[in-house]
Amino acid sequence: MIATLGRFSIWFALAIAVYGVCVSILGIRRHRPALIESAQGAIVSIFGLSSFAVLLMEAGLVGHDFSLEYVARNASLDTPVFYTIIALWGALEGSILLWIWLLGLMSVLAVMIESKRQRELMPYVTVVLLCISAFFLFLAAFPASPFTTISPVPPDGRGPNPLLQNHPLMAVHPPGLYAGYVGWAIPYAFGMAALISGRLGETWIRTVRRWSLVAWGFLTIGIIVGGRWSYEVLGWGGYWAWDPVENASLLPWLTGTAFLHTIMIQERRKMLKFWNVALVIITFALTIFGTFLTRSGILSSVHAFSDSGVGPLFLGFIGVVLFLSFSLLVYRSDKLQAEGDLDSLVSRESAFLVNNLLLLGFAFSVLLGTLFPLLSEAVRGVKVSVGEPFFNTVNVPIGLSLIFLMAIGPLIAWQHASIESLRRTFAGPLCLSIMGTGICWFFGVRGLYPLLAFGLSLFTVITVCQEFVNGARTRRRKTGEGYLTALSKLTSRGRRRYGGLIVHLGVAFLVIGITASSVFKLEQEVTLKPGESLQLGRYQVRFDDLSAWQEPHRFVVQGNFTIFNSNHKVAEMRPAKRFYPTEQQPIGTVDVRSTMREDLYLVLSSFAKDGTSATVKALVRPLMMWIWVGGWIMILGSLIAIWPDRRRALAADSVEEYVAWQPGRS
Amino acid sequence: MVILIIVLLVLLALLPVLIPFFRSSDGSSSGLEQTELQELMAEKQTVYAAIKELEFDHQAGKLSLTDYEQARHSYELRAIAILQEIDRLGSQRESQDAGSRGRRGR
Repeated sequence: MIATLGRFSIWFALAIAVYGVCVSILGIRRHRPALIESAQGAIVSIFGLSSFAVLLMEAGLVGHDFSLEYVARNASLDTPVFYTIIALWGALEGSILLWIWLLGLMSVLAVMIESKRQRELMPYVTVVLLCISAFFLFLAAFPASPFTTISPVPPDGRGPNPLLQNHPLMAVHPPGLYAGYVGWAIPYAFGMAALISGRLGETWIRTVRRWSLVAWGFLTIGIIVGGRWSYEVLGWGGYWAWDPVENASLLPWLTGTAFLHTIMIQERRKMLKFWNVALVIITFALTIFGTFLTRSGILSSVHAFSDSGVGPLFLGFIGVVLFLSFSLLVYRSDKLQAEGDLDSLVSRESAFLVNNLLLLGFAFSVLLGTLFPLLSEAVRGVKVSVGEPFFNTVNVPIGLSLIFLMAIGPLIAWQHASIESLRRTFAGPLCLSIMGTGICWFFGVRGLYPLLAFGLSLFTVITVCQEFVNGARTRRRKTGEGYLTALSKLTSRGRRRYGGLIVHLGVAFLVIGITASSVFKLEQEVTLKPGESLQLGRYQVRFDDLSAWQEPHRFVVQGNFTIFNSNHKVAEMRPAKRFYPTEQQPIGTVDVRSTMREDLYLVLSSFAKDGTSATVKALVRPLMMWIWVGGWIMILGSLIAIWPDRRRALAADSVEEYVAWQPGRS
Repeated sequence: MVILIIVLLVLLALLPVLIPFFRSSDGSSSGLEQTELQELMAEKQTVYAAIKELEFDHQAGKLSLTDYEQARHSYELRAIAILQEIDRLGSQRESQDAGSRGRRGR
């Protein structure tokens, strides 16, 4: 029953998507509002049908309906319920179902929120969103159907990939990433609507700003949580390996960040109109590329958990998206001329422009490095991978320049900044950060890049703090409010500006964490007998014994370690190895002791079966926690920037009212 | 049972698609001038917000007097141009309205 209903829901949703595209086009051509509204109703129907399909799949997974091939491959009687539920996105077919559902949800929200405000653009937005939905529904209906049945029905399933049932963050990482990918469909649809309708003023830019921030925020969550998952599950002590799938998520994040900055220039100065549409097209195409890389298995990755034949379809879709979008862009290029000029090289718009070039350069080098194995195979017949040295050599200088621009960009005046204004804004932070860099050098930081990374991050933190303190002080002087009230009102009245600054603060924390944890990393791997210890930094790690037990779905061997710091016991740590019946190799489970100062990271590499020895890999990574804290600060900043401003909403209402009561309107 | 659920599903899914055809249209498809006016009002808001931000930055000591006055002047010029455009669109609509009333009167 689940298979029949599931298949029907998908097919019917596909039919409704095709119907929606047709009636929307007809409605636009014949100026028939009922047809346009019917197409918008199709979006609601697709969301309803895809929600039903997701519920059916969950019922199949939790109810162990092994007649469904997907359930037989990704669930088992022994898998805990939590991991059974999240097995929905454990493989290709379920992930596509999740994509469809998330796209349905975002499309419904876009129709509900924007259809009254953007009557001119919404019919076109509807067409674009329905076309994207139709593509993914086609995948779910034919080559990647989650409701395919098998016969004979197996008594038990294989269960999810052990790496996917080893950490609860798997519940957040893929949905966050997918929501980020799907989220860019909305700005893209508005960009296309503006191109098709020819209404290329600033309206679409103002509309997509919040939607872009939502997508960017989800993508940030997905990337940060993915890094944490990698750190705590893969057992190599790192969080980012320039792996193709990791890079695929970084690419739209980089171009999306560039877009979020240049829309400000278009709003303020009516410049970069062509560039903004191009950026939104590239970002959306890169989100599809990310899904393609994750799910096609074309490049080997620790994150690609499925290998399938949908790759050519994805590539075809990316090709169609790029061809149609850029053709339209060229066709409308005469309407996309800048109305303003760059007044001075020392201005915020100049800083944002350079920041854009650097972000695009960063994205290009990541794309080149990611695709290099395919390019080398096509040219020389041999797959040659480029690793960390390539990415670090190219991207570290670009990244450092970006941090510099991040510190100065938001504080320079629009249009033109004189030497006097620059001196007022930056003299203090510059002196303090030079002193801070000197202190870092005094405490043993050596090398140009680490010193620059610390110095520039510090510069960013100081400029952001200065901006908040000066703002609160000025507000206090004007209103007589207390410091805290002035600070909170300052932030809530200028959510966009101060939310953005908080994001920058988060990036600075992240960079400090990345630099310290990479440069000052300590590592040791030794075999210990019970009672023996290893010394790493200020920690003494004593191996006590091994313990082992059987769990319903796996066998666990655990190493018990006691950690001392200057002869004081500070913790007990228990890294383990988990043996799954479906896997030949055991899955390592690391144990991490995190503080703001440093992480102690233990991996049980191997052990003697009689328990007489264990080989343990221990790492000390300073300021590791700052990376995660920085990530959450970035998300907090984007939430502040996204949060609707009641006063602005009221102002927008009054605009609508004003427009509605203009003479000539009955 | 399956057929019953499918029928129910079809009915529920068709509901949002079909309702618009049975609802009387409010005839509120916006005219070109209205959208233009909306765009101008939004632009006016952006310029006003920019002037306010500029004023705040000047009071906070971030901008020199020359930079502040220069930037403020250019924003004010833009605001005036927007307000003139809003007035032009308004009076255009008004005269169109008067014309159509006159024709109806005859």
